[in-house]
Amino acid sequence: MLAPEQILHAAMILSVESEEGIDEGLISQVQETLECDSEDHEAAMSHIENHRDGGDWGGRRDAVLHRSRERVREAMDNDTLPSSGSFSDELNGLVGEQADHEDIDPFAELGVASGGGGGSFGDNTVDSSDPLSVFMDDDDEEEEDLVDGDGFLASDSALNLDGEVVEDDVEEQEVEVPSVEEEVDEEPEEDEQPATPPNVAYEMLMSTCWIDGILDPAEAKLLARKREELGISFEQHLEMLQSMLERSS
Amino acid sequence: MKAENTPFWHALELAWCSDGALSLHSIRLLDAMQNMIGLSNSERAEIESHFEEEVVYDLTRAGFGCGDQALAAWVGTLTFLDDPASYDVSKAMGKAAMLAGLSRERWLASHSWMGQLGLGEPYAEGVWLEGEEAGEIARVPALLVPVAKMIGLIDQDE
Repeated sequence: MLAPEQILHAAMILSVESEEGIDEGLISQVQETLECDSEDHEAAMSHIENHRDGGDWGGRRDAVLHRSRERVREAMDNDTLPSSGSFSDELNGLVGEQADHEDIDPFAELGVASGGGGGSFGDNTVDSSDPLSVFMDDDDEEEEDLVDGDGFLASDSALNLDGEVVEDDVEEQEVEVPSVEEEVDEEPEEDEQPATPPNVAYEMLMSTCWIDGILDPAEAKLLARKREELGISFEQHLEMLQSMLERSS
Repeated sequence: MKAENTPFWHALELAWCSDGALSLHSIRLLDAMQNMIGLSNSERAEIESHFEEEVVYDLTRAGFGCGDQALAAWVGTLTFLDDPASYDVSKAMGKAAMLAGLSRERWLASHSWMGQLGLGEPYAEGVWLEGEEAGEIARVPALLVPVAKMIGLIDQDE
């Protein structure tokens, strides 16, 4: 069960990231319904401002939005937030509006782990040091340990964008690994699939962007974001583009 | 770089195609253009030989090369390359092309065109949203009108 502060936080993220920007009227309604006070609102806004990273969320935008949508939906499903009426319609608009554009991370679909903003070209490490990955975790029990009473990361989990949280995350993973291995002991290594190299996946993504014959702004933005995440230089992009077009002609 | 999608090819069309003849004045103007855009002799030779095969052999002479007037006007627009704003304008042009919807063919042709003018890099940055946000293009410079038509920013009939 999500805490009201977590739901408010999720709704605020979605509103902030919507095309129109934050809808204070809607957020006030959410806040009132959840019986959150202004301190909760300020704490959530402060968290968003500190970690929004210009909308990139440290390279985890898709995951952050996905998780936020899940939380709002869950709150509506268990009637913490209304599931019918005009207020509900507005919430559905908030959830649905971004779901159309952000639901699918093509790189996740391609089996490529994004480097989390600044990974080098060819670097295919899983983004365990991403501070927001803790926030995005699906495990409620684990989340309770890592999330403070306000629904945000606890202060001792050192949520910041400087990577200082890495040690905590590594320890967390080391503790978890044996139990996971026990569960999957009978099928060792079968689930391990070699991840597609970033440059190959980027090229695949680039070709899908032109699958309808026209490059549009959303596709260009997606590719620009992925270049940054994967550490692919613009020169490399142009080279890959040229070779791709030569092959297809 | 496809020869057909270059400013020098366009210059040859202006020089030849009005009456199927090339004047001495046009030859000098083509020399001047070659120097202004830094085209090597081998690159020019490749474009010209291709142009002759594709275009000139099918022309019928009907005058004394009066295309030199249009060519002179065209070569005059190359001063845009000395304009400090040419980088930003090219970048804005790239962004405008992308916003208008850019096919592979248009990308290849327009990038090839801009590349020969030394503006391929900012144009590509504008298309692919690389670096700082490109501005809006207020008016297409005369030099870039052919490429603006190519990418659909300007109506072909204008």
